[in-house]
Amino acid sequence: MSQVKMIDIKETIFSANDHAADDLRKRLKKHNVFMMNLMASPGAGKTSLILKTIDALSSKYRIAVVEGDLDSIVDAEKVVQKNIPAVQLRTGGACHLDALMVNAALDELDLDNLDLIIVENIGNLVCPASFDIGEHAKVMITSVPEGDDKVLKYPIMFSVCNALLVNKIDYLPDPGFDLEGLRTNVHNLNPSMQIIPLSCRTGDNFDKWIAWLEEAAQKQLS
Amino acid sequence: MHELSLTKSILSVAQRYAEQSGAARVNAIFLRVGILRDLEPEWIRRYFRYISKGTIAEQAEVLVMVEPLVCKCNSCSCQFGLELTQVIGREVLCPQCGKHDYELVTGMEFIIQGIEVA
Repeated sequence: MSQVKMIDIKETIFSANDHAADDLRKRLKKHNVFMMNLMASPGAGKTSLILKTIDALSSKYRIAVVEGDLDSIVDAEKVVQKNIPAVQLRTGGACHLDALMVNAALDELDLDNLDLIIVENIGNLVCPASFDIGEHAKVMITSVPEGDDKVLKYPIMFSVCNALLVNKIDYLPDPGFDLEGLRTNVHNLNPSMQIIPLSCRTGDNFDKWIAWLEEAAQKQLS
Repeated sequence: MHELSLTKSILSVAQRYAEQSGAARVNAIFLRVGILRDLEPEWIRRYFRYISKGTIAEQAEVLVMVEPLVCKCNSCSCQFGLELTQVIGREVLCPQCGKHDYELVTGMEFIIQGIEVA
């Protein structure tokens, strides 16, 4: 007669990726590099933000970009035009980046001569939220034309990110977009989330983003 | 979300532990999944029935315990539950000290809690 027994496991389903991400974080620390993970729906402004951030900070920090977004082959060229090293990940249509993919991308970069890496994740507010890529900061972008009702649709994303950029505020006032309501809802799920409304197009409030990013980077860099 | 790849991970973890323990079969797999994951247990079960055919976990029942949203106040350490409906609307405050300074402690997890084998 076979014996029935219970076996405790208590492992997160993401444990293999989490371990790989921890290793990646150690690798970045060894080379004294700060890395941020940028996530958003397609069209929210990831690439615009990256290009403008490069303009603001490339004289002060040695920056590289890892492009994971499917339609960003063109965008990788825009980054390269600014004389910034860029690695285009070929993910074969994946819906998120994971730690192994980003680790492979870092093999293409000279980490000893970099201070700041921006990873442009796949345009998707669902899957990337669950995959740690060894970053020091998770940043998400939502934009005014997308509407203000995304918090309960993508609760994991809003919960795990350190900063929320609300882009395209040049579209305000918009009767369909309640910025203060969005702030309250976001903070109900994630009280410590930094919320920065801005416009990549006009530059409005962009300096607040740069200030936040620099502060986050300085905490990591020695 | 990609239920199929999650289900494959569940199967491979269950197989690993079952084989290590010398078991003949897996009777049940217990998952603990936070409410924010918005998981549909029926889909996990369907995928699981399909991919587990011919494996040690072919007969396993997949049981999902849904964890509610629980917050821990950073000011007074009080733990309190949060309904999804409370996220939209008024500012949520700690019921003990009234501050708005807390972190989620449960509600986002996706854990393979254990298996029953024979």
